[in-house]
Amino acid sequence: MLAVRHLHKSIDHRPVLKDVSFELRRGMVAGLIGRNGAGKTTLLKTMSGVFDPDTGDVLLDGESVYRRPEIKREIVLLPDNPEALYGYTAEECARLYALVYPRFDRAAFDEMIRRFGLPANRKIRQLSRGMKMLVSISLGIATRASYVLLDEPTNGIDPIAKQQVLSLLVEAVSEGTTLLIASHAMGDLERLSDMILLIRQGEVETHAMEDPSRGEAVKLQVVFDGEPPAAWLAGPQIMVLEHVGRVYTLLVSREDGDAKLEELKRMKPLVLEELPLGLEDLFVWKLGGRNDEDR
Amino acid sequence: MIRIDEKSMMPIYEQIVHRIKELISRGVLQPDEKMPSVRELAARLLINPNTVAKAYQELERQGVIVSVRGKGVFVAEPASSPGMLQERLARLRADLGRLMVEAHHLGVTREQVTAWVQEEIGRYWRDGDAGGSPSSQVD
Amino acid sequence: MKIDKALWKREYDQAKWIVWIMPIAHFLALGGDRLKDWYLDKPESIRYRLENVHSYLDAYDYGDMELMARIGLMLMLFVLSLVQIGMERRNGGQEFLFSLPCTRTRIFWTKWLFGIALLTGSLVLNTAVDMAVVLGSPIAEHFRLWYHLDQFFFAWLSLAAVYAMFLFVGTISGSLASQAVFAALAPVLPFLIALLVRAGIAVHSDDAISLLPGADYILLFPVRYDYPEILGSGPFPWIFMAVCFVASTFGAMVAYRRTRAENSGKLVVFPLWERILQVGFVFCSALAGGTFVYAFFNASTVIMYYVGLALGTAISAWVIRQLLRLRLKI
Repeated sequence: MLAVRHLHKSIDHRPVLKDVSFELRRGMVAGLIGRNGAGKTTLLKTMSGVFDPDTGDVLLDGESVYRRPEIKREIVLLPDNPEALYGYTAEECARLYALVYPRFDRAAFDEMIRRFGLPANRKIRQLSRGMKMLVSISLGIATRASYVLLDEPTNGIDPIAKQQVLSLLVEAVSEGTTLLIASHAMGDLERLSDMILLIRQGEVETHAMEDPSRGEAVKLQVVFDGEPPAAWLAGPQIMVLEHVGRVYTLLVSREDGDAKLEELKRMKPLVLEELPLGLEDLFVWKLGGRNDEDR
Repeated sequence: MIRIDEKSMMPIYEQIVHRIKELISRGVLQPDEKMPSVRELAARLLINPNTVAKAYQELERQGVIVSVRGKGVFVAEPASSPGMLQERLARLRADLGRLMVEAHHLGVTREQVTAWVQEEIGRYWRDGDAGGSPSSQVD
Repeated sequence: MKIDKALWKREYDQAKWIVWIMPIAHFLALGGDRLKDWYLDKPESIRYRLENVHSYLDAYDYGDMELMARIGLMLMLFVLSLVQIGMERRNGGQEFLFSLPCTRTRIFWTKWLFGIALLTGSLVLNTAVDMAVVLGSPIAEHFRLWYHLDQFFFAWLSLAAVYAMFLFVGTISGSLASQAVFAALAPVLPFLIALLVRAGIAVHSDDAISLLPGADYILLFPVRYDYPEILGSGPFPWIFMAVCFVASTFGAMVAYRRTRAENSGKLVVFPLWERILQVGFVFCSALAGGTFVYAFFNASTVIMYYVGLALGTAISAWVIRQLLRLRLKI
């Protein structure tokens, strides 16, 4: 188990991570979502030892990765841009990684390269973005590390390469690998994740995929009878996602229980229907619009 | 064969359960036929294997599929569906009631409702076919 | 351990061309140059040169070739340290290394050892070659083994010290550009400061100058000594270089271990060193300002000096504030 405990990290006197704690079990997929610049990359880099935390610890099966970096052979960070490998070919990367990670599976790596038709002997900087990502992820999975941290793995790559990336990741999870994926691709995260980590103003909240909103909000489709209540709609506990003709798609807060819902029902709307609250809705609800200081 | 609708109200694993039952009902999946493994299905659908595992667990619990050690997962024999039956039939009856209330509320005519029911019967019940499992007396 | 192999391989991959250029350039400056003088030149020139050789010092050209070789090596070590530390900050190399399952200390020692081994190897090789060249040349009778060994150890210590200092500067600097500037300044800085301080004192009283010891020996390090200077300067430069070597190595190790990778791109990586840089910069600029204004206005009163001092302080304080805020991509 990979446990993050009370991680604090400031950059330029600004707190980027505030008392961040969560746990990742084996074989689980966690999605890390947040606004751009909110600290997703900082969190991944801190967990993999690139940054030192101000306070707090990251424990792999009880041992600190800062005090015993050797155990990081079970953690591999796949940055959104594998710059460090640009001067190498896929072949050379494999040889380098084999020296670093004792369980590196060369055969599996070669198989993945072959499967995706990636050139083994061309410098990585010459490959397309999708291919770069595939090589990087193949390397990461072939290390047989138990925890793979991915920073925007599907960002900017074509749909076919994306399918390939996802199939690679799903297979790895089947083998018992744990994935922590920082991404904006809500659709992909929805299909893949067991758990969502939402980063906002330096703090990380845990949401289970079964009920992403944690019961805090409900998504409704509403058609009002007569004039829509502008004041009520502009209230702090209501968020208008969409407004097409007379049909409103709303997010209604359940922080005070069913109070807001009751208010709505009393307006006797023509249509009042619950919709599934997806990841993108959660993102918008928690990270934007209502509170402008959100970051 | 199985498509996941991300926009649906139903959680993904429930969609899988529902769809597999549908495929079995339609005869697309035959009894004793080998099902794709959890890994295979997850890779095909690009979803978390844990979700597929959950769906398979539920299907097994309902007696729709059976897993045989070392061999894989198979579609169950209709006759061997075990005792969740009563519960499921009761729930099914209640669902039907709810649908009827809604239809009535929306102003659907008696004739229309009957036509719809006949349509569904025609799609799922073949001639001389009494249905998937031996139905007990439930009201 | 296998991961050491990976780390060495990584260093080599990054600095491949320096590994090959260094011994070759070294040869050209030393053995090759001697070869040119005593083998390849026109016979008349060689004979003329031979006639002017009255002592072993003449034969060895007063250590000039070793001097040039050292300067060249210093430049290459400067570039090596830039590649090892500064360049990694901007090409994702540092990030990659820090995420590996090994301590940062181990990574540092690999880099340090790489540079030292390269230096040692080049010195051993080229000293041997040079000895062979001398022994086979017209000046063979002036051959002195201890001359070569003396030069060898002197070169080794002075260059190892400079290299360690370059590394130390690199571990504190935040970007390739700032490392290049600071590392280039570092060897001359004590000399410059001494110069400014002397000028400041001279403004107030001419007599006081003689009280200050000469700052010459700190200029550009003893690297620039010719052989008579090496012989005549006693033990102090050796002690100084040894101290510099050990202190810089230790300092670089600590700084690398504690490095704040999130500050890559800034002028310096540590808040403490930001302060030191600030104070130092303002101090030097103040002195420079005072000296400059005093000289510019050909002044007779000390007041002008203080005017310059104040101006220097104000302007430099503002400048360094702006610079410290920068985050460069290079």
